[in-house]
Amino acid sequence: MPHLLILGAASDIAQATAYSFAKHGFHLTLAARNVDRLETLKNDLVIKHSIQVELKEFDACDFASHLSFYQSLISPPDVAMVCFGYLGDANKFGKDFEEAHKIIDVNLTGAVSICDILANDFEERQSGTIIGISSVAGDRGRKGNYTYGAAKAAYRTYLSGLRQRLFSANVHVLDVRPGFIATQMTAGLQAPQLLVAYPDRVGEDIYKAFARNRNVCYTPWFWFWIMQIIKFIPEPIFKRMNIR
Amino acid sequence: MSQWHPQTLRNWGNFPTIDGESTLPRYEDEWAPLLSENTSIGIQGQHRSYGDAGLWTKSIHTHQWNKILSFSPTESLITCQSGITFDELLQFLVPRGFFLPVTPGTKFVSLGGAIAANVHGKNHHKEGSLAQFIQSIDVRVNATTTLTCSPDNYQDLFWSTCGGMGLTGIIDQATLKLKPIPTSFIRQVQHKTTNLDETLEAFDRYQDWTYSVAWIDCLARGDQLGRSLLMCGEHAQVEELSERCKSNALKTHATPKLSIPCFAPKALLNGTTMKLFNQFYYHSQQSSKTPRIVHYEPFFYPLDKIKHWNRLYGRPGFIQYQCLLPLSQGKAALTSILQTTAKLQQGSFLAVLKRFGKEELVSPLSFPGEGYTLALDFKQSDTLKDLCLQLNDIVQNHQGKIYLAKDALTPEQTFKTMYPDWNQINQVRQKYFVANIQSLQAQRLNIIA
Repeated sequence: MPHLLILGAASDIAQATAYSFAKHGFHLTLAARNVDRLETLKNDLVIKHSIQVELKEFDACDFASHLSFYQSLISPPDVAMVCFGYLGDANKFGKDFEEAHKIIDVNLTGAVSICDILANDFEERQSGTIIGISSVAGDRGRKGNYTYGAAKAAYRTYLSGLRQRLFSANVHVLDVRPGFIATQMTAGLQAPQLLVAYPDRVGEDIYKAFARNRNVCYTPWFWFWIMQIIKFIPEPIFKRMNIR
Repeated sequence: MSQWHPQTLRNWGNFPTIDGESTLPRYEDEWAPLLSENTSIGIQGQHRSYGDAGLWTKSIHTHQWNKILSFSPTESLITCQSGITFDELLQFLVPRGFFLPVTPGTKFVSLGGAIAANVHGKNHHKEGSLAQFIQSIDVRVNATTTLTCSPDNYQDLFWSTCGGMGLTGIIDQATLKLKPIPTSFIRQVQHKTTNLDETLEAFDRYQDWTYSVAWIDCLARGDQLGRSLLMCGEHAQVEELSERCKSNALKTHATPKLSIPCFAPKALLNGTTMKLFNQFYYHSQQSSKTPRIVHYEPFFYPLDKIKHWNRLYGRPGFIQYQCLLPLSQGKAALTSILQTTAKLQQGSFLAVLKRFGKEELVSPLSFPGEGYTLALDFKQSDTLKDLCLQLNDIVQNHQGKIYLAKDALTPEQTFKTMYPDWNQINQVRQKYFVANIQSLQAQRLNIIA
C-alpha cells in the first residue's frame, strides 16, 4: 500500500488531504507539533478507511531535528507533502522583525530543510512525489501579506528548481497554490464570499493533481486566472491599488 | 488556544440575526478555557434550527468536533463527537449497510443539535424520536466535569439533554443505535387526497408503513381545505431493485450541485407565487398505482438538493411555525389553523403534516407526542407576529404545543403553559453545576434562572 507523509498535519488543508489520500488507499504518517492532539483524527481515519496511520512529532523550525526525524520513520514514504505554514500578523509588518523572521523560517527555511532531505532520499530511491504547498500570495507581493508572499514566492522557485533536478531521477514535484481557503490560518480575515473555498475541496484537488502528475495546481482552479490578471497589472497602477 | 472571530450569527430562517463572535474548537485541551471564561457562552452545530434557538453573542461552533470515535457493526452502534453531521454519518454508514434510526428532513444537522432538539422523522408514529435510539451521551457540564449519562445513569441529565435545546451542558459525544438496511432504496407509494378528512383517514390507513408524511396545501379553502399528498415508504429489499440498482444496492447520496448564490428579492415568494406553486404541484402529482423504488435521498431529503434554499425568502428571512396537536383535537385544530392561513393567504409551499405516535419520554422540553404535527413556513412580515399569536391561541386552546427548534416569536407565558415542566432544566443545571450556557431563545422565554 502506498504511503503518504504529511508534514504539518495539524493544518486544515493537511487534514482534508489526508482524507482524500486515505480514500484512495494510502497509509499515512501525520507529523506535527503536539502530535498527540491528532489521536482522534488518527482514529477517525482508521475507522473510515481501514488504513494504517502513524503520528510523529515534528517541528518545522527545529531544523537540526529534521534528518533524525526522517530517518526514524518506520518506512520511507512514496509521497511527502509539506503543509506547514505561518501567515503572520499583518499589523506587525515592519514593526516586529521577530514576526518576519518566523514567517520566513516556517514557510521557507523549514520547508527547504525538510525538502532537501526528502529530495536526497527520493532521488536515491529513484521514485516518489514531493508536494509543496506554496500560495497565490507568492504570485505577486501585496501589502496585506508581503513577507508571507515573499517566503512563498521563494519556496515556489525552489520547488521549480527541485523539479528540474529530480526529473531525471523519476521523482515528481507538485507545487500547490491555494487561493483564499477558510481555515484556521485565515480565520477572521475578510474575503468576498464567492472566492472563499473550503479545505475539503482543496484536499480533493491536491489528490487529483497528484494522480494526474501535474506540476502546478491552483486550487480552486479560478485562482490561476485571477492571479494572471493581478500579475498583469502594471506596477505604476498596482502600487496605487488597495488590494490586500 | 481557540481564537474568537466576529461573525453575524443566524439560524436557517435568517431571523433573527445577531452580531457576535464564534470559535471552533478542534482539540480536547481547548474546551476547559472556553468554559472557564467568566462570560455566558452559546453552543451551535449546523445552525439548522429556525428561530433564535442556540443563538448567542459568544458562540462555540462544533463543525470541527466531528470525528467518529468507535463503530461496532455487530452491535449496530456508533459513537461520534457531537459536531458530526447526518450527512457525514450517512456517507460512512450506508455503504456498510446501516441507516440513521431517526432523521429530520435535512441531513445537514449535527448529532448534538439533533439530540438537543430531539428530532423526529417520518417514522415517528412507529419508531419514536431520536432519544429512543441514543444509548448514552457525554455531557460536558463545566470546565472540569464531563458526565456520561444514559437512561440508567444520571437519568435526569440524560432526559433533560434530549430536547433540552443545549441548555444542560455541551453535548460532547453520543452513542447511537443504528438501523441495519438491506439497500439504500425506498419502496414509495403516494396517495392524493381532496380534503382534510381524507388526509387524516389516509394517515390511519397507511399507519403500518414505517415512513409517512404529507405535503399539505395550506392555501386551499372551502371543500378543498387540507388537500394533501401523502407519501409512504419502506426500506426496499434487494429483490425489488432493478438490475442496474442491484449493482450498487448501498449507493450513498451525492453532494448537492445546485445552490442559491445570494439572497433573492423578498418579493419573489409572495401570496401569488405560492398559490401558483401549490396549484401546480398538487395537480402535477397523482396517487401511485403501484409502488416506486427511489433512492433514500429524494425520499428523505428532497430540499437538500438545493444548497441555501432558505435564501429564496430574501434577506429579511422567514420562520417555520411547527405545532403539535393532540390526536383527539387534531381535526378541529387543523381545520382552524388551515382556515386561518387560507383566509389570510399567508402560507408557504412547504407545509408538512405528520402523524406522531405515543412518546413515553420524560424530557421537560421535548416536543413530539401522540397526535399530528403541522409545519408551515412564513415569510418575515409586519403581520407575522400577530399571525403567530393567533395560531398559538388555536394551538393552546386544543392543548397543543409549539416546537422550540423552530420557534422565534412565542411569548414566555404561552411557552410555560405548553411546557409545564420547563423548570426541570434549571434543577438539572443547578444539580450538576452546569456552566453559564445561554441562548437568545432561553432569554426570550425566561427559561434560565
